[in-house]
Amino acid sequence: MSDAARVRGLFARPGAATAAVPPPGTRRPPGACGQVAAVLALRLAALRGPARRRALVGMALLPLSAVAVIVVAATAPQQDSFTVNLLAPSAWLFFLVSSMVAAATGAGGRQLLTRDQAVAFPLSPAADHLGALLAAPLNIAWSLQALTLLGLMAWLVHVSSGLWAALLLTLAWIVTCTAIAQAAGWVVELVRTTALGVWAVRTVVVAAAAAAAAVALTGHVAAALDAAPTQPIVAAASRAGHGKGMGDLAGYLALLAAITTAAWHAGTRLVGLLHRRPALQQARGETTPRRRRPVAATPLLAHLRVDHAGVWRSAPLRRGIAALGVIPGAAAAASGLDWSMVALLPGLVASGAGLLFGVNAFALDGPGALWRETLPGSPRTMFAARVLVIGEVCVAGGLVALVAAALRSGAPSTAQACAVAGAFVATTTQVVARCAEWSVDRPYAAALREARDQPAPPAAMAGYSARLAVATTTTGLLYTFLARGDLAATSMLVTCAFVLLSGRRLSRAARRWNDHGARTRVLATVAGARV
Amino acid sequence: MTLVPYATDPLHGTDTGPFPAAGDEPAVDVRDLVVRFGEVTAVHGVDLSVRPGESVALVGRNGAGKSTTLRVLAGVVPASSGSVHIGEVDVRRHPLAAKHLAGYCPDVGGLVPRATPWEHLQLAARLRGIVGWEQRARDLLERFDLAAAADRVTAGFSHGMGRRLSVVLAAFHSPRVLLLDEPFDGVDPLGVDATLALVEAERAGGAAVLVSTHLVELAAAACAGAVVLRGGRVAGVVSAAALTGPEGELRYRTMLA
Repeated sequence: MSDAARVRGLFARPGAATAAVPPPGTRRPPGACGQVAAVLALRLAALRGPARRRALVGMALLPLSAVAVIVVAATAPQQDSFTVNLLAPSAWLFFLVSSMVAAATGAGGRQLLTRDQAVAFPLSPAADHLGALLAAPLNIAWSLQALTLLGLMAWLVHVSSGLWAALLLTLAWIVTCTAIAQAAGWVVELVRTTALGVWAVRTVVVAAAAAAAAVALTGHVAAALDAAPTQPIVAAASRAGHGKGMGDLAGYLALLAAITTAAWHAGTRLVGLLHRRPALQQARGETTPRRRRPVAATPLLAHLRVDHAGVWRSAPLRRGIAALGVIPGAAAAASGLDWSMVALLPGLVASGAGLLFGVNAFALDGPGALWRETLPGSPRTMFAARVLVIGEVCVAGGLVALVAAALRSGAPSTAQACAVAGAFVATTTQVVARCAEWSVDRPYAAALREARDQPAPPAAMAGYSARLAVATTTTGLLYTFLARGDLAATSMLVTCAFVLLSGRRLSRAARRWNDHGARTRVLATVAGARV
Repeated sequence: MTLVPYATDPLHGTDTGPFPAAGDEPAVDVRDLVVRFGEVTAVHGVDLSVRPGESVALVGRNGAGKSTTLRVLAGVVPASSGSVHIGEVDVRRHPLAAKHLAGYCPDVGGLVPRATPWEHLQLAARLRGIVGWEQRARDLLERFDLAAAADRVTAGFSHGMGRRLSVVLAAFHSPRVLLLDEPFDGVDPLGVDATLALVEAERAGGAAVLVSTHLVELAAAACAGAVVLRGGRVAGVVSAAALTGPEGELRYRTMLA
C-alpha cells in the first residue's frame, strides 16, 4: 500500500463508504426533574470505588439520621418542656432566617454543574433552581437545623397517635422555608446584577444588622422572640401532635403548599432572569486596573501576595469572608452568649473559613498552578504561603466573632479566658492542618470565579463540612466544659496537645507536598491539565 | 528514526544540515526518557538533543507525549526513568537549578486567574532573583500588545491574550532553554508574528528553543528542525521545512500513521 493510501485509510471514517450512519433520532427533551436526574447520574458516574460508596452512604445519611433523631427524641424523658415550648417558635423562625441568609450569601446556593461545565448541555432555569433546592441538605447548617426541628417537635409531642401529623407540618415548614429562602437568594442575586445593586444589598445588610443590634442593646431580644410570627403554626403542630385541631393542621398544610408552589414558580422565573443578566460585578472586577506595588522583599511574601490576590479578588471568597466576619459575631452579640458558650464560636468560624477555599487551597492558582511550579524556589515556601493564607482567614474571622461576642459577655474569668483562647488556637490549627491535608490529597479543578463557585464538588463539600463541624464542635464543647469547670491550666495543656496533633498532620501534608510526583498530581489537577 | 534530507530553512537561511550551526554542547539532552502515569506510559524512551542557538519543533498527534516531554524539561513532571539534562544540570537531581535555566509556557492556561500580568512578572522576577527587569517587562508587554492590560487580572483575558502572556512569562528572563507548548493556539496573526520574532531573537541570543505545536506551517516558521513523536516515541527527526507543502504534509501524515 502506498503512503498516500495509508494516510487516506487512517483518516477515513470506518464504514463510511458502505453505509451512511443515520442521524440520531430526537424525542421530547426532559423537564427539570429529568435534567437534574441526568446531571446527578453524571456526577455519580464520575465517582469511583470508595468515593462512590461514600456518596451513596451520604445520600442515605440524612433520612436515616432524621428517623433516628425522631425515635430517640420521641421516647426521651421530658424535662422542662415548658421552656422548650417557649423556644420552639424561635427555632422555627431561625430556620427560615438562616436558610435565607445561606442562600443570599451563597449567591443562590450550590449548583450541580458549574456554568462552565453546564455550557455544553441544554439545562433550563427550572433545572438550575431545582438543583439548588435539592442541594440545600448538603449545607451542614441546614441539615443540623432541620434535624433539630424534627427532634424538637418529636420530643415535645412524644410518642402519641398524632406524632406523624406534627412531624408532617414540621417537614412542610422545612420545605417551604427552603423554597422561600432559595427564591430570596435569587432576588438578592438579581438585585446585585443591577448598576447600584451591590450597594443596595449592602445597605439592606447594614440596616438589618443595625436593627438587630438595636434590639440586642436595648434588651428587647426576648420580647422580639416572644412575638415570633411562627407561634401559631408551632402551636398548631403541637396540638395536632396530641390529636387536636386537625382542621388547623390541614389549613396550615394547604397554606404552606401554596407558598411553596408560589416560591417554586417565582424562583424559576428569577433564575431565568438571572441567566440573562450579565455578571456586572465580576466583569468590573476583571477589567479594573490594579495598583502596582513594589516587588515583595522575600520569596514567601511574593507568594503570599499572589495568594492574597487569589482570595480577595474572588467574588465568592470575598462574600464568604464578609459573611463569616459579620454573621457569627452579630449572632453572638445579639444573644449575649456566656463566655463558656463563646468557646464554640472560633471553631464555627474556622470551619466556615476552611470551607471557603482552604479544603482545596491550591485551586487558588487555577490554570496558573503549572506555571508557578516552573518558577525556581522551594516547594516548601509555596506550601507555607498557602497555609498562612488559610490561617489568616480563620484568625481574622475568629477574632471578629470573639470581639463581637465580648461586647455583651462582660469580663471573663481566667478559666473562661484560657478556654476561649485555647478553643481559638486549637480549632484554628485543627482546620488549617486538615485543609492542608485535603488540599494535597484530594485536589479539584475549581475556578472560584463566579459567585456560586465552590472549591470542590457539592458532595465533597458536604463531606468536608460535616467532618470539620464534628471536629471543631467536639473541640469547642471540650473547652466549654473546661471554662465551666474553672480549669485554666488544663485548658492550656489541652491546647498544647491539640497544636501538637495538628502540627503532626500539617507536617505530614508538607512531606507529601514535597514529593514531586504528588505535587505534580495536585498542580495538574487544579490547573485542569491532562497528566 | 527517520531522517529526511534537509531543505534550506526558510527562516534562518542556513543549509548546514537538519539544524542550524550552534554550540557543540547540548543545551537540552534527553536520553531514554520514560514517563508513566499509573498504568499509562506517556513517554517511551525518547531521546532528544538540542544545542544552544537551535530551535526545534515537537510535533505529533494528540497524546504523542509532546507536552509531557516539555513538562519534564520544565521540572513540572518527574521522569520515571532516563536522563534529562539542561546544560550540565540534571533536571531529576537538581530541579531548582534547572528551573533557573528554563522558561516554560504550559499548554493549558498557565496564568494565575486573579493576578495581573505585572504581578506575574513581579513574582517571576522575585523568585528568579532578577533586578532591573521592569524595562524588559514593559518592552515584552508592548511587543505582545499587552501593555494596556498589564494591570488587569488575567481571569478576564481572552484565550489568545492568555497565550501571549504565557509566552512573555516564559521568555521574560532570557532563559537558556525556552519551552513553548502550543504558543500559537488561538493567537491572532500579530501575536503569532510577535511569538515568531521572540523565538528567533532568543535563538539568535543562544537559547535552545523547543516549540510543541500542531500547526506545522508555524512550526516550520519558528524552528529549523522538527522531532515527530508518535505514541510516546520519536517517529522521526527532520527539518521542519520538510513537513510543509503538499509533499511535506503527506510525509508528516505518513509518520503519524
